[in-house]
Amino acid sequence: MQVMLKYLIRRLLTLVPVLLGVTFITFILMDLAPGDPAEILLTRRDIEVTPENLQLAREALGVDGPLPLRYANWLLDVLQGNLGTSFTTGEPVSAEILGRLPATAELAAGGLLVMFLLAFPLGTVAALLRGTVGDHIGRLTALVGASIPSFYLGLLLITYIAVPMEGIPVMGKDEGLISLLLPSVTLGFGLAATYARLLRANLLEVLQLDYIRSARSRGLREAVIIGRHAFRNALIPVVTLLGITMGHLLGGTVVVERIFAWPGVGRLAVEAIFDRNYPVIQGYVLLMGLAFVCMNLVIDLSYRLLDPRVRMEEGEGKVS
Amino acid sequence: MTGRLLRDHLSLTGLVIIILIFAVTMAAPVLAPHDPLPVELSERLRSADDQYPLGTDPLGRCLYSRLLYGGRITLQYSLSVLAIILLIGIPTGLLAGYLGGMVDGLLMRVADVVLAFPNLILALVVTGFLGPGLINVMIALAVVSWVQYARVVRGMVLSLKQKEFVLAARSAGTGPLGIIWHHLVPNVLPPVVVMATLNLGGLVLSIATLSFLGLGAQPPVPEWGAMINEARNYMVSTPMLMLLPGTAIALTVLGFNLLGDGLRDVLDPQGFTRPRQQSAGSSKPSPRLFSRRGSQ
Repeated sequence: MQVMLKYLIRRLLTLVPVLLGVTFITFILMDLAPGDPAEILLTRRDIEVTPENLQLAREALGVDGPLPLRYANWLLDVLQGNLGTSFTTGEPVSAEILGRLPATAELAAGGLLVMFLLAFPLGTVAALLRGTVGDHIGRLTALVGASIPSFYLGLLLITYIAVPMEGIPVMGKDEGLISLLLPSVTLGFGLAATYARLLRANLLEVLQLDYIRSARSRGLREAVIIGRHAFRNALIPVVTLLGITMGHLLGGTVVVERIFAWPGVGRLAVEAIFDRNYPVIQGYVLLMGLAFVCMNLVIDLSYRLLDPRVRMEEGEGKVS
Repeated sequence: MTGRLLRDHLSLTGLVIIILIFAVTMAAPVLAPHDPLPVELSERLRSADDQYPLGTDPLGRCLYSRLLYGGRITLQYSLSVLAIILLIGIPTGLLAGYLGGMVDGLLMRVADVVLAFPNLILALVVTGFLGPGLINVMIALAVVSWVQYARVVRGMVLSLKQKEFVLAARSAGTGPLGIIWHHLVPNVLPPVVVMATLNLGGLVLSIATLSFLGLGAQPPVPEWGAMINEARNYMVSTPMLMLLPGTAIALTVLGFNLLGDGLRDVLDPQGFTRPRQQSAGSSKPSPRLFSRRGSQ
C-alpha cells in the first residue's frame, strides 16, 4: 500500500505542471479571440463605449496589465470558482456550466453503458471465433462502426427508428429515461466498435498464457476457461483502454447534444461559440480539460489497484 | 512486403476505395455536370433524371456535383492538415529525442498539456476562438494533432539512438544531422506512414464533424459534413440529401482505416502506432526489431 501511496503522490505532483498548462492554454485562448473583450462586454450590455468605460470594463474583466499578472489574477479567480460572467445572460459562467453538467454526465454514462453492452459480447465472440469467417465479419463490422460519423448515425437513428416508431423522443430530455435511449446509442456505438477490437486483442493475449494452457490440459470446459480464468485477466487492461475512449466520449457528447437538443454543457459551448460568448467557451474548455485529466488519473489508479504485477514493477522504481 | 499487403483482402479493399474516391473527387471539374454553387430555386428538390443524376438540393443545386466537389474539399483540407502536422511533428520529435535535455523536457511538458484535452474539444474551442471557417478548422486540428507524432517519433528515436548502428555511425564521425537524416529518419518513417494513414480517416471525420456543427465550411461551399447539416430539415422527406454525403464520409474513413490497419501489420510490427496503454510496461517498444533495417 505504501508503494501505492508513493505512486499517488508522484502522480499528483506531475499533475501540477499539467494543470498549470491546462489553465494557461485556457487563459491564452482569450487573447487569441478577435476583438477587445472589454468592448464586446460594453456593447453587449448596451453601455456607451467611452475610454473611461472601457478602462472600467478592462479592470472588471481582468484584461489589464502584463500577461503573467493577468494570468495570475485570472487563476486566483478560477481557484475561487469565479469564471467570469456570460456575455449573453450576465449570469456567472460557473453557475451556467454547473447547471448543465448533470445532463452531460447522464449522457456520458448512457454512452458508456451502451458501449459496454455492445463491446463485451462482440469482443468475446470475436476472440473465441478467431480466424474464422465470424471473426472477419466482426473485424469488418468494427471497422465500419468506427468509420460512421456519430452525427450521421444520430440522424439515421432519428429518420429510420424514431420517426417510424413514433414513441421515441428525439429532442431534449423531458421524457425521462427513454429520452436518453437514442443519444446514448449514438454516442456508444462508435466507441463500442473500437473497444470490442481492443477487448478481443486482450482476450487473445491472455488465452495464450501458460495458466490457460494448463487449465485446458486439465480438461476444463472452454466456457469455464474463458469465463472464470481468461476474462478476469483480460479485464485489467480493458480498464486502461478506457482512457483511450474517454477523450472520444467527451468529444462525442458535443455532437450528440447538438443533434438531440440535449441540454448539456456541449450544446452550451457550441451556442457560446456562435454567440462569441468567450467566457463560457473558456469555462467549458477548462472543465473538459480538468475532467479528462481526472478521469485518466482515476483509470491509472484503478489499474494499479486491480493488477498487483504493475504495482510490483512500480515498486522497483521503474517508470516508463 | 507488397505481396503481404495484396494478400490481405481488407487492406486491398481499403486501397481501392481510397483510389476511387480520390480519382472521382479530384476529377470533379470534369465529372460534375453543374456548377455546385449557384442557387436555382425553380429547380429545387428535383428527383434524379438525365439532367441531374442524383437530383437537386433544397436550393436547386445539383446534388451529384456538390457531392463530388464536397469530397474534394474534405480530402484537400485533410491532406493539408496532415502535411502541416507531419512538418511540425516529425522534426520536433526527432530533435527532442536525439538532443534530449531541455528541448526534450519542454516538448514533453507541452505534449502533456495538449494531450490533457480531448482532441475534438480542443479543436472545437480553438476554432471557436479563431472564428468559423475551413482555414481556422485546419489550424485548430494542426494545433491539437502534431503532438501525437512528435511523441511517437521521439519514443522511437530514444530507442534507436542506443543501437549499435547509430553508435557506430557516431564513432565514425557522422554529425548529428547526418545521423538523424541517414539513420533515424529511414527507421522512423514506416510507422509514421501507418499513423498518417489511420489519422487521415480521423481528420476527415473531424473536418466533417466541425463543418456539421457549422464551424468549418460555410455556405454555400459544399463539404460533406456541412451538406448533412443542410439536409437536416429534409431528412425524412428527402433522405438522399443526408444519405449520400453520410455514406461518402463513412466510406472514405473506412477506406483509410482498412488501409492503415493492413499497413500496420507490414510497416509497424513493433506496434508503435497501436493505442497506447497508459504507462503499463507492455507498450514499451521492443528494441531488437530495428536491427534488420539498421544494419544496412
